[in-house]
Amino acid sequence: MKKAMIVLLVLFITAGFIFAGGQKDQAQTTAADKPVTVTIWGWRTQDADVWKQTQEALQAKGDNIVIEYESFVPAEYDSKALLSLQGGTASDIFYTRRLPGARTQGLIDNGFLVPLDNEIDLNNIPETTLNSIRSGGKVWGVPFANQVVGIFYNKDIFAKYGFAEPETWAELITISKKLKADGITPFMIPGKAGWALAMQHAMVGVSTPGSDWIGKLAKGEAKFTDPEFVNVGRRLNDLKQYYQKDFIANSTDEMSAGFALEQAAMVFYGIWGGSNWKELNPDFNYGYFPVPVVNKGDKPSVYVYMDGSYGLNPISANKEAALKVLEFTASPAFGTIFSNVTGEMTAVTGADLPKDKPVLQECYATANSIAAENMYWVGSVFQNGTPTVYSILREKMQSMYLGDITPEELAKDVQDGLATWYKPLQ
Amino acid sequence: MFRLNTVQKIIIFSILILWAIANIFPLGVMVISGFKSTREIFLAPFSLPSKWSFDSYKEAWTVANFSVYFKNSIIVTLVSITFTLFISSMAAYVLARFEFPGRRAIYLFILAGLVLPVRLAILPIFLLIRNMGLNNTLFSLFIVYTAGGISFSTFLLTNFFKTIPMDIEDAARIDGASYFRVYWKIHLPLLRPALATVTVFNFIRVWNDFFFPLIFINDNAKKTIPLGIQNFFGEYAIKWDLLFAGLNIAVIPIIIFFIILSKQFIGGLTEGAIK
Amino acid sequence: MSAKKLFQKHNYLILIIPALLLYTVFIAYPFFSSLFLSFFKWPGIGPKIFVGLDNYKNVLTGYMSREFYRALGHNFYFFFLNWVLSVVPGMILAFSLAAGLRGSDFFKTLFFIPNTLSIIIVGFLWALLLNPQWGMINQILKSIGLDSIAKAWLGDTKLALPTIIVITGWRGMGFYVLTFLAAIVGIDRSMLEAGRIDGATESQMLFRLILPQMVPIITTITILKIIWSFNIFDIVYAMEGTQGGPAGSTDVLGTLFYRIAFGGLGSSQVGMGLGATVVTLIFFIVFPVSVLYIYIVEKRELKG
Repeated sequence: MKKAMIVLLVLFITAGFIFAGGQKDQAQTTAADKPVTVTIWGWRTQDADVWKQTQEALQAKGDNIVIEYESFVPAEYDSKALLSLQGGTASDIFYTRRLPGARTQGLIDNGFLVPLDNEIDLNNIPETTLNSIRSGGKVWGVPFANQVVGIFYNKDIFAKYGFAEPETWAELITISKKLKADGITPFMIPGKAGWALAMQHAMVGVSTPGSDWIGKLAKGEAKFTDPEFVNVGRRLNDLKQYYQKDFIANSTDEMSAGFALEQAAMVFYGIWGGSNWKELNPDFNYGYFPVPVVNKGDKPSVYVYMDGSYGLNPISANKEAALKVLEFTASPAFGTIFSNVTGEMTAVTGADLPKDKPVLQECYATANSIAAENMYWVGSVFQNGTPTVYSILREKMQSMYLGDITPEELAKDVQDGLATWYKPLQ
Repeated sequence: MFRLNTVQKIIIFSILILWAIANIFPLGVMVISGFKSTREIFLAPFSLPSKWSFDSYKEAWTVANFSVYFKNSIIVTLVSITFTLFISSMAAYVLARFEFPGRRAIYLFILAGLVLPVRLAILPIFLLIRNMGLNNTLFSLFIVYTAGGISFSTFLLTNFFKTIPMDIEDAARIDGASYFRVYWKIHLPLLRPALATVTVFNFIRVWNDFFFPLIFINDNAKKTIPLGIQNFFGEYAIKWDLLFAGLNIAVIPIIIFFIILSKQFIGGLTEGAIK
Repeated sequence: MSAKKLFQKHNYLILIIPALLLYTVFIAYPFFSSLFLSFFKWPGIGPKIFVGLDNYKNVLTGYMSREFYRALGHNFYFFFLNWVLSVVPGMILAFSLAAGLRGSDFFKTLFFIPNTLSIIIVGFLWALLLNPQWGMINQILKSIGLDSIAKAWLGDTKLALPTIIVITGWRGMGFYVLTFLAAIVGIDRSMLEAGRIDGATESQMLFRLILPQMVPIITTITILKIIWSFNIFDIVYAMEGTQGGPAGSTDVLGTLFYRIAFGGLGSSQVGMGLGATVVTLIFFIVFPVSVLYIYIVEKRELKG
């Protein structure tokens, strides 16, 4: 028995060494017209089919290109990309996050991205979206998705009570009161996910006090400790009576499950949640409305941010082929593929959005009409240093919801933190 | 070993049963959840699945590409724990048995490796591997996993070595055996329980690690199981039914490995009882 | 030193060379060179800017000090509570198994199984069980009328950390039980027989003869626990994310380091130099304590 185990072990080790050598060479066909392989790294598992269809579309056009896509868990993707780029082992194309952003800026400053302005046609992507990947006047990637956040609601519940989509904050409260009185949880909030609470604050803030006031803030003509900002926190703090019990312990997954399985009427979330909700409950009938304003007559604006873009590796051995791929991703045809496969909002205009996703279409239209110009969460000027509004809200929103600090103190924490580096506010 | 009356026996048995329940309960939930739909996992945690479906398991197996990843995980794990065990036990032998200048310094030097989180040093390690031309190979994993197990294994084995009486060794040395022979023929067998403990520990560590494969492996064909599982933690997906099924599949080899080895060290434990 | 002795020294030292070589090249050198980063400002890419002791000032007395000391306190708390929750039940269970009742083999195997699960599984599973609305723990508590105790375990600033510690204890129990059991059955029987002949009761034997013999193994375990407690990261990350929520009540040095060095999702700044500072400080807290213990242990061995 012992001998057998030793033999087995030796066999395994030998096999291990044989396999360990690694197949560094790509399997190339020996046909005269060899296909070129373009490698792409990203953090989204849902994109696998997008690239398959892209490959088909390119080959139909006559470009003999094979795309190999690998995805890595989002929380670890950045480490992997950063290390590989420095080590010279990264893929031809890789996903990047947005600007302003220290990580992406770091890549640019150290020569790990190629400016694409003169290489491909970017006319199908709106300027505001391109600004999210623009630095030093150049565009450093092809944006692939915009995200829209706001309030998503259960249409069946609203229909049952005859509620219309609220246009003012007061109307939202009225709806919540009625639901709660009837034993229905008005909001499902993921209190454990600090980032989602920061997002909640941000989406409420772009409606009231609104994009113009935030613009003043960015210039230093207003402060975070002004009542406009403080009241955002206050409104949310007052809203928590309409959240589910013990909301502070729920994750975003639990929130999604609760919402899709009709345990609550509304959530503060983003359009990307849709595929989860449909997966959990194919019959789920949900809708969207922007966060209502406080003063009747004001126009709401919506938090839209660029989710990510495709960047080109400067030391890619297959630049020509990679550029062909990137050129395609900036075209409406790609936008159509992207939205149809993932159910998310492509950054490209002129795409054909899936007809069976009315909420997606609604958000797409919203993003192109009332997107906030000035913001303070992701994709804003306040991301250019440490700490950011995002990082402070991430922790302090929980403290406020737990009653450990007041909305005034929350605002002061943000002001003090930003004042350490944001010049206009110093 | 103890003389106990009936009342004492009942109390002891109750304690064991209580802890057994504390174990079976969560493990049971884990196993059964793999058979449920995501909806049921959330809303009906208590009940048995309405439909005992193997679909999640089947899908998890293919989506996570388990057949390929399994092979890689097994190879990487077995090779690295074998080497770790081999070189750590030799090192422990030297450290436990001999006095030489610098012994304590070397012992503490090796112990230091336990204190530091691996992520801090990932860039130098990555560059080392890349410079050796081993990026994107399983070989890189062999090396880092073997190296990573040295601190703990050496520490534990050194402590166990000290419990072995010197006389057996002296007798063998008088008979003319080399140090290596003494180590191989005498110490290793006596250390079986300790070796088994260290082996299981290292198996768990290597099998479940996702960080090194993430950084060093690019090709799908060389990925290991933890990376495959991560496909279920997608950026926006919450396929909990697949997740549980996948996690359960990943756990089975370890449990089997442990059950096989448990005879070794549980056997070793009761051997001592007859002493 | 005579040539013969030198040759002998050579002879056995060869056995330690593979381990030393591999360890030095792939673990020690990368680590110690990374500790040097603490004197630089470096976002993980690009040039490293020398800043002298600025990072240390920041962590010990500056902006990061609030989070640092909070996390440090949590690590100490973690160590103490985790030690109690592992050693006490571990010993009780080990002795229970040593009694050799029927089924002990099955129990031994069962008790170890949680240890084989990866931390991600454990964190995931328990987060599910502890869900305040639908999770099984609260459902059970409610069904037996203990509504008041059915709390938001991972959402309560006072409960979250103890909960995580209990779960860590749950997972690790198998290792401690089996290690203690190995020590128990290694005890010299003849000494126990002598004790019985002398008329000692079972409990007197337990406390006077057996427990003292357990001190070495408990010491070894304690050293390991000190080291592990200050390096806790995975379970907190799995259950509360890098923020160590809620409101930083579960933030430990490991999550603090991760947050500083790698940032969260998205584009927050990466400060590897600052992260290295935290790690260096951890090292200088933990390592001397371990060294101290080892010296104490060896002194005791020389005496005994």
